[in-house]
Amino acid sequence: MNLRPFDAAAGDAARLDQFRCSTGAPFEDDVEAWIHTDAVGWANDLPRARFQRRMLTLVEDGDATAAIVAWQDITRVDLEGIWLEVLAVALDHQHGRRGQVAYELAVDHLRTIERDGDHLAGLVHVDNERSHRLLATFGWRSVAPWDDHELWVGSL
Amino acid sequence: MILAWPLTTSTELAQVLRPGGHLRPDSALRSLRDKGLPAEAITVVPRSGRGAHGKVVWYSSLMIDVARLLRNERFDAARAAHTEATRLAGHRSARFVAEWLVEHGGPDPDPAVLDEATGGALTRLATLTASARQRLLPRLGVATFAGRVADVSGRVAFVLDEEGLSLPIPTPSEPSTGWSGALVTIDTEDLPGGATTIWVRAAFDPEADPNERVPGGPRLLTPAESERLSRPVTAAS
Repeated sequence: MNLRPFDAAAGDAARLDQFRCSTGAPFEDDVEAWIHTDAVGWANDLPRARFQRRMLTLVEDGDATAAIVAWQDITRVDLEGIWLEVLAVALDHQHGRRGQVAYELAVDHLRTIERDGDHLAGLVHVDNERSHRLLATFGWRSVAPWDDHELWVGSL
Repeated sequence: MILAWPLTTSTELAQVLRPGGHLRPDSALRSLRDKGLPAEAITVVPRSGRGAHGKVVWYSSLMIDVARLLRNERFDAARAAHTEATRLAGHRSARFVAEWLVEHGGPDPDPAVLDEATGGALTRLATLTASARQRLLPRLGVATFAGRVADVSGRVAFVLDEEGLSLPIPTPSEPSTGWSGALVTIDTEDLPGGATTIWVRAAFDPEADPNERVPGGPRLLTPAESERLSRPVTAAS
């Protein structure tokens, strides 16, 4: 697998449109909808995107889009590091540890980028058991309730 | 979340070092420096042709606490606050804020405009400052309050916090018409001899980012949440 930045000129907007990660759970639908309708705007929302160092990336597995990963500096809580806005694994890559491989690829990349600290943080829906299991596997923990989400925090 | 304006000036530091007295701003900076607590300036090198605006120098507002603690001869606490003030003055968000202030600022910049133009750098700096101050609070020797001025009646302003608690505070002899509705943070300091000083500073309420996947603005972790974070993973429930 290979992680690369979103590239509109390479037809990545269409790739985002075609990306499917939801098995039908409402919180998965929300993430899929965000990728389809908001992700590009989020990544290009200047001047926020510049200060917060937003990045929208695709994880490729051959010609397939295996995952979408979006991150920025942590700005919503008083921790320093990287905020994972989205880490969504494609439906056809959600088994056989391929989701974990996509996560590890993303985190390996995050270890190489400029950042203010080594925390990883993100909001995960309270009912998203699969993400809870994945994150717990990599040492993340639920730290705080956040409406119908939880703040999960890990480390690089 | 109401956040205090995270910057200060040497004039304000002089007022805190010698309340009610007359201390020149440069003397205040020298006093701090002489005690091993120099105020790290938040500044940038002005671009050519824009020199006039580059003369405004700011400091982390935590230097106010450093000055107060120094006045009260609480040197260990002053050093702890100074470490945080120096860290924040060198933070990336402070550089973004300073660059904007050099270009567009003035003596009384609008926090909302600054925050929007810097992509949230002011909110970030204010969040980290509030977080550091929350950790230092037991050693600061002040009681804190943040809210909106709900009413001004004669020489008294009533400040209402986000939970509906009200704090009456005295206003200056000539209160500005801008007091009503203003967001403020208040430090109440008991001085020797039974006097109390109330320090009122400007605050702001950051706008939430409309593109966030999960809406909502910034927040500070509570002490219990921070403690949960510091626990070994194997002990997490």
